[in-house]
Amino acid sequence: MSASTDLLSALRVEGPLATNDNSLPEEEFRLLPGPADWLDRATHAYRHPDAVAREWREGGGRVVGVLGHDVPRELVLAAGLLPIRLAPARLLSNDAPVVGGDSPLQLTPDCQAFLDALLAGALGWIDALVIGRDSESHTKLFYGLRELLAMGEAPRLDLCFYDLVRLPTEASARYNRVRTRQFAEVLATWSGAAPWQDAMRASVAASNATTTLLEELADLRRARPAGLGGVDALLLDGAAMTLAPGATQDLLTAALADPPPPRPGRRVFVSGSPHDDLALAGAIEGAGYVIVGEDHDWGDRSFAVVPETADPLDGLVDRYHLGPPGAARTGLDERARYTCHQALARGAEVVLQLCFDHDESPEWEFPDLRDRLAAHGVPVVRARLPWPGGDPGSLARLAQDLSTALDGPDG
Amino acid sequence: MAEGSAFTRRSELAITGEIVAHQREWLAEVRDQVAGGEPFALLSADAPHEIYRAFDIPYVVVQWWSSVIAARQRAPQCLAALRAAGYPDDREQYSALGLGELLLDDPSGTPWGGLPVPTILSAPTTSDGIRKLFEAWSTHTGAAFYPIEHAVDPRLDLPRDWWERLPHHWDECLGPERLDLMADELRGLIGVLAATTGRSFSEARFAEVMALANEHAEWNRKTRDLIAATVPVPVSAAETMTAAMIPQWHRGSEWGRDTARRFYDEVAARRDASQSVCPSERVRLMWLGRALWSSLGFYRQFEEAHGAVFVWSMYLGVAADAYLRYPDGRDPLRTLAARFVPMGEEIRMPSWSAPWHLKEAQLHQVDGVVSFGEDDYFSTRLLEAAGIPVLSVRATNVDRRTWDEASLGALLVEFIEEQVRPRAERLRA
Ligand code: SF4
Ligand code: SF4
Repeated sequence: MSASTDLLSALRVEGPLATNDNSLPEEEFRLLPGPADWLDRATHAYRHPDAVAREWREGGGRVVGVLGHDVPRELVLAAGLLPIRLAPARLLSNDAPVVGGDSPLQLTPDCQAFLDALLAGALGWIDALVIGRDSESHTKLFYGLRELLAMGEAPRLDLCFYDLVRLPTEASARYNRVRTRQFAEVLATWSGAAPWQDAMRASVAASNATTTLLEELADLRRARPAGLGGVDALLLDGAAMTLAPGATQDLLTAALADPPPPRPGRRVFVSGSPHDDLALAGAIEGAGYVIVGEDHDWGDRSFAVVPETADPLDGLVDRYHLGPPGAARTGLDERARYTCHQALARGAEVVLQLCFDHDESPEWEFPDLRDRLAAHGVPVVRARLPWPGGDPGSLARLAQDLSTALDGPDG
Repeated sequence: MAEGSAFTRRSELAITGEIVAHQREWLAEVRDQVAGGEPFALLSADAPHEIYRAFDIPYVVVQWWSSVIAARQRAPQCLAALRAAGYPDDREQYSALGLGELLLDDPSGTPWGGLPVPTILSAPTTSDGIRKLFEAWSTHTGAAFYPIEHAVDPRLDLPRDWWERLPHHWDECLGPERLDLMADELRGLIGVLAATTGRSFSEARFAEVMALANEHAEWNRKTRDLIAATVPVPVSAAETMTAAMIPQWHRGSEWGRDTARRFYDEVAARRDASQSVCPSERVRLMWLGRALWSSLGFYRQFEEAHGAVFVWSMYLGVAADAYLRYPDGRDPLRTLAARFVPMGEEIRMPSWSAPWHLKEAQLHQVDGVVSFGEDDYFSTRLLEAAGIPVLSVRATNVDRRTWDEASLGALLVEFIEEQVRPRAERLRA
C-alpha cells in the first residue's frame, strides 16, 4: 500500500476537513507520519483550497472560484486572478456530510452540495465565482442561483456563467470566441486589469509548462508496473487546479524527482462521471488494483496543450472547445473513441465505467465502449453509485466485479 | 403494477377525433412515401421544424411518438429493450422510447402501423444525454444525425415578461450572440439538407411557412384566451392537450393553421351555447408538467364528485405564447432563430417559467396547481406567494414505475378538498 493510501485512511479519523473552519490549528493535521514532501503539499492544496486562497489574498490577490472544468483558467490567471477549482464534495466539513437528500431546486447532489456550501457562507474565501457549462446540471444551478441572488436569498457575489458550446463547427467556434471575449471583459472588471495579449501569452506558456510536467507524470502511470497510482494522480491533478502555476510546477517537479515506488497490480482505467473522491479510488487501489488513467476532468482530462496562436485567445478557445471530450455534452463516437484510445494507451486490463445516479450522460456510451474494447480483449465493468462515492459495501462489490471481469467468477 | 388505465377518455370536441384521424392517415401516407424512397426525419420537439416543412421533408416528433407509445401502454417493453441493449432505461425516457421500440423490433405490437425508419435525425443539445441518444439512434438506423447547438443565456438580469416581448421585440429580448449562432446553425442545416436530399430551398416558400406558423399561433392564443376567460370552462385540459399538440407538429402548413382555427371555432361555439365540460365547476386546476398520455381520462375524474376541472396545461399555453415571432421586415431565417434560441427556456428556466406560470394561473382564474415531474421550486414559491396552492409530485409521465392512477388520484382528491376548494369558496363568497 502506498504512502497516499495510508494517508487517506488516516485522513478519515483526523477530524474536520472543514475548509471554512479557521479555528483548527494546522498542527492538528500533522499527526501523520511524514509522507514524501510533495505528497504532503499536494494533499494540503487538495484538502485546503481555502488556505491556498487565504495565502494568495494575504498577498493582495483576488481569488476566482471555478465550478467546473470547461473554463479557461489561463484567462483568469492572465487577468492576475487566482482560479481555484471548486470541488463540491470537499466544500462541506466531515461534520456535515453530504447526504444527497432531496434538493428543493431539484439540482444534482453535487450542485446542491455546492449551493449548500455557498448559502452556509463556507465560500467566504473566494472573491468571485465562475460556473462552467460542463453539464446541464451546471446550467440549472446557474439558473437557480441567478434567481436566488435576484430574490436576495444568496450571499452577494460576483458571478459569471461561461457558456462553452461543443459542436465541432465554425458557428460554435465563433460563438465561443464571442463568449470568451465577454468573459475576459468580466475578468477585467473583477481584477481591474484586462487579460490582454501579453499576459495571455505568458499564461498560456505557463499552462503548457504545467501540462508538460503532468504528461511526464502520466508517463509514470503508463509504465509497467505503474510508477504512480490513481489516488496520487488525483491529488496532483487536483492540486494543479488549486495552486498558482509556479507552485504547481514546483510541486510536480518534486513529484517527478522523487516518485513513489512502482505499484504492481491489475491495471484499471476509470471512465464515466467526473469524480474526485479519493475514497473511491482508494478502495479500488486498496483491493490490489492500480488506476492507470481516467477519462474525466478531475484526472487526465484536466490538462491539455494550449495551441500557441497569433491571437492567444484563439488557441485558448480551441483547447477548451476541441480538447479532450467529457462525458456530458460531447458526442458518442467522439467520446467512446477517446476513452478507448486512452485506456489502450495506458495498458488497461479492464475499464471501469463509474456513473453517478444523477449523471445523465455516460451510460449511453456503454454499449459502444464495450464493443470497441471487446475487440481489444479489454472487458468493461459498469457501476452506478450515489454521489460522491458510495458506501464501503458497494465499493467492495465493485472490486469483486472487477475481479470477475478479469478472471471469471471463480478467479 | 397495472400499466393500463382505469379511465376511458370521453371526447369533448369533434375536432380532436378529426385531428387524430388525420394524423393516422398522414402517417400512413408518409410510410408510403418513405417506402418509395423519400427522405423522412425524426425530430426533437425543439428542433427547427419549419426548415423541414419548407423542404417538404416529412417529419415525426420524437416526443409525440413517445406519447403514442405510452398511450398504448407499450413503454415498459420499450424501456426493457433499451436496457437489454446496454442503454440506460431511466434516462431521457421521454425521448428514448422510440429507440427502445426500434430495438424491440416487434412490428406486431407497434402503434399506428409503426414508424418508418428515418433517414434524418435532429435535436438541439439541450440536455447531457440527448446528443448521445440520437447518435445511438443513428447507429441503429443508418440515419444522418444533425445536432443543433444550444447556447445558454448567461445574462444576470433578464426581462421576465418574455410572452409580451418575444413576438415583436425578439432581437432586443434575446441579444445578438445566441441569435447569430442559431442563424448560422440554420444556414448550415439548410445547406446539408439541400445536399443530402437533392431538394432546393425556396426563400419564398420559407416565408410562407413562417407566416402560416404565426397565424397558427395566433389562433392558439385566441383559444387560450377564450378558455381562460370562460367560467365554467367550455373544454378541459385533457382535451386541449391533444387538440393543441398534434397540429403543433404540422406548424407552417395550411392544415395546421386551419385546424387551429377550427379548434377555436368549436370552443367558441361551446362558449356561445353556454356548454361546459363541467357545468358544476367550483375549482379550476392547472396541470404543470408533461401529460399523462397513458391516462388522459384520469384528468376528468374530479369533475362530477368535486366540481374540479383541469383548465390549463402547457400544451396550449406554450402553443399560445412561445411560438409567435414576427419578422417585421427582418430576415426570416433570423426570425426563426428567435423562435428556437429560447425554446424550452419558457418552461425550464425559472426566470421565465415562474412568472409565466403565475401569469397563466391568474389569467385562467386557477384555484390550485398540480405540478407533476417538474422543476417547480421557483414556480411554486411564486404561485404560493400569490395565494395559489400547489401540489408537487415527483414522477415521470412515461414511466409507470414512478406513479399509479389510484395513489395519484387519492393525492389529488385530498389536495382539492383540503387546500383548493376552501380557498376557491372563500374567494367566490
Ligand atoms: S493536507 Fe496537510 S494540513 Fe491538511 S490535513 Fe492533510 S496533512 Fe494536515
Ligand atoms: S476499437 Fe480500435 S479503432 Fe475503435 S476506437 Fe478503439 S482503438 Fe480506435
